Amino acid sequence: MLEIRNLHAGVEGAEILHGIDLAVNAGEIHAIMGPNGSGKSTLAQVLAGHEAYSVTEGEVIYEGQDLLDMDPDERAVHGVFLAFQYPVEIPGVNSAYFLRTALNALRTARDEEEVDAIDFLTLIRDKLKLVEMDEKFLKRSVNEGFSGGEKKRHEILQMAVLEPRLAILDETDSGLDIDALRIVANGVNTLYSADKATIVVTHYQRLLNNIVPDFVHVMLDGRIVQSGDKTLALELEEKGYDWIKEEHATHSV
Amino acid sequence: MTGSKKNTRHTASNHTSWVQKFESGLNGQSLRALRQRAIADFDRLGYPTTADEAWKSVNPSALIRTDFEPAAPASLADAELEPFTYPDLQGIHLVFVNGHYAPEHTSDIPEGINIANLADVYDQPLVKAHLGKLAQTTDLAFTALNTAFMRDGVFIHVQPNVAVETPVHILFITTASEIPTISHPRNLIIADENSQLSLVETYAGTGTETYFTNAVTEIIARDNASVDCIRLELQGTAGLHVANFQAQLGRNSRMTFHDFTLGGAFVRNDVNAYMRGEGSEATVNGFYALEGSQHVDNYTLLEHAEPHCPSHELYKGILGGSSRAIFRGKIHVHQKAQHTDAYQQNENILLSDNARVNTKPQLEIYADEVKCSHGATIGQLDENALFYLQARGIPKAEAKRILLRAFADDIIGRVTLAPVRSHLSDLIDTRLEHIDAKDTA
Ligand SMILES: Nc1ncnc2c1ncn2[C@@H]1O[C@H](COP(=O)(O)OP(=O)(O)OP(=O)(O)O)[C@@H](O)[C@H]1O
Ligand SMILES: [Mg+2]
Repeated sequence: MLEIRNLHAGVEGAEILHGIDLAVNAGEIHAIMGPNGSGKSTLAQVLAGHEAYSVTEGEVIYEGQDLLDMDPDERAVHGVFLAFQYPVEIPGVNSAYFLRTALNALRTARDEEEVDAIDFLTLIRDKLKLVEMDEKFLKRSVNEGFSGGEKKRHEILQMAVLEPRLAILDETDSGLDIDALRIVANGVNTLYSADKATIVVTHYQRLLNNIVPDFVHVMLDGRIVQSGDKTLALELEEKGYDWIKEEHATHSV
Repeated sequence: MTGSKKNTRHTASNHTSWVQKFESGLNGQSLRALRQRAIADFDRLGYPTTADEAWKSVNPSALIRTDFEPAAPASLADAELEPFTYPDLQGIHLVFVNGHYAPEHTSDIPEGINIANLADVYDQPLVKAHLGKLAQTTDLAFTALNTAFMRDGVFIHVQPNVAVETPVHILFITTASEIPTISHPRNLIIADENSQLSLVETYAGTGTETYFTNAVTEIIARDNASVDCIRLELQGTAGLHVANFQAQLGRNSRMTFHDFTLGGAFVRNDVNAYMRGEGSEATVNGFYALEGSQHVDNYTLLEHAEPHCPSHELYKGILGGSSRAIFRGKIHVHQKAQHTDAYQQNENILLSDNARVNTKPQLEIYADEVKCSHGATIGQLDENALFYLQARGIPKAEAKRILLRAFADDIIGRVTLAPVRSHLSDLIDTRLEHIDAKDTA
């Protein structure tokens, strides 16, 4: 489904990703872990198409197509979804309007019929239940004044409405209380199916207890330095990153 | 000064006789003293130059060409007015074409409100007592010029304790003309004690040629009166527009003013809310959306002369092309105006690298128990918000439109008159699409 080959990317003048290789097949859940500043969000943003990052080398093939060649909205149309580490506040645009516009943008681009206001309300009520959010959020400006946890649940709400095939969750678990964590994990699991894939960026094993990964990758200084199964996450939880850092340092000398 | 020498109409030595000649064509000379004083002020002030503080960043040369002719009357069919009216507005309509009152378009006027063409009521004691009192000619050259040459415009008197349910819409329209024309619309509005009025002023032009509209509106809201004003400026692409809006608020009165500037090559708005009665409240909001080489100045003065007056001011602008905007917001709190609560904000979005905004708050505070806040922002469209919308599948052009609309809605949404709000909303949508298409082209 997704194949990242030797991806180098960065911001003006500074390379952040120094050659990422990663293959994700349909039905798989991949976790990406790694210390602060190792490039996890950069990878996620590059996959979603943020203009601030430029790709200097390598390629990303998504469902047989060159992902890097698509505009961010086209990527969404093709089923790519990024749950932002820092969801953006958009004053003056209410959540209901935003969600319906996004859904209809996808549907229009896919030659499907638009959803009218009434059908949308039925649909959204269903999805709100999944993330246990109150309907009153729909009337509020997107993310404006939302608490940290509300923002993260709102990301999962968007995912529920847009039904992506490849979901990239960037620290969707950070700042969540125990209930919210359960809600988010449950949301992700409910939306999961064999034709879909999920990449979860996280610092904590506790999320991976609920969303069980098939693969765990460790990022360090813009590279994936170690990959393994779910036991790798447990090991990291126990031992921290130092042993990987040391190992990696000796290897690269 | 530019312009040909042989055209002597506006040279200083000739002004007085020109006013006399102008006046002899009017019915009545009751305003002689006012006109003479105004033209003397104009002679002293002269046309503004870039040396004047208020005109420093502007090249006023387009405004001071001397060959503007007084605009001739013209008759317009209802269909020609349609683009400048509000489709669902059930209002009292008055139309002025090229500065001349066009009575054929006037709709029925309900009880409790006096409405007349100003030129027909110069002799009324209320007019004599108030005309020119707020819009002083001593330091504004164009107001002096308007006062010397004013003729038609609207006079409104809402009688005490009358709430006029029907909004009054005044349309000033200038038709296409090969010779540059000038008109001096002049309005005087008196909302008497405990009365209520809703007023809409529209200034528009149909041609692409240069013309000059030099308007002055004076509004007096007496004790406990409530006045809501909306002004829409839709002048033609080469139109020059100078407008002076002066409001005085009595005890416990309230006034709202919402100003939308979309048209014109050069626009200069002076807006002054003079809170002269204790407990009065002024709201002055503005929105401008500019493209090409449009230039718009908003000079506002919120004058707190009495205690316990709140004022709210929010101006927002979107600029494309090589357009320019200046916002100068002055808050003047007199020594006795304790417990003043004044809020001022100016926000701008630049859509192109060549657009410029100059924003300048000016606070003069002489009282000590005052709450006063102000702020200004100038920036581009939020890249991260744009990306967020795009990442959800919304194409870039639409994402931009959504963000710009949200920015504008902050002002549009404050217009309470629904038919005007929805029409403004459509106009602004069209304008935003146009600006953006030009800047991304
Ligand atoms: N737009 C940017 N401009 C400059 N530097 C950037 C930018 N984006 C990321 N970086 C830098 O790139 C590095 C990787 O950042 P990134 O956000 O990808 O890390 P991360 O692994 O997601 O960290 P965290 O766990 O703290 O979220 C950091 O050093 C960061 O400062
Ligand atoms: Mg991150």
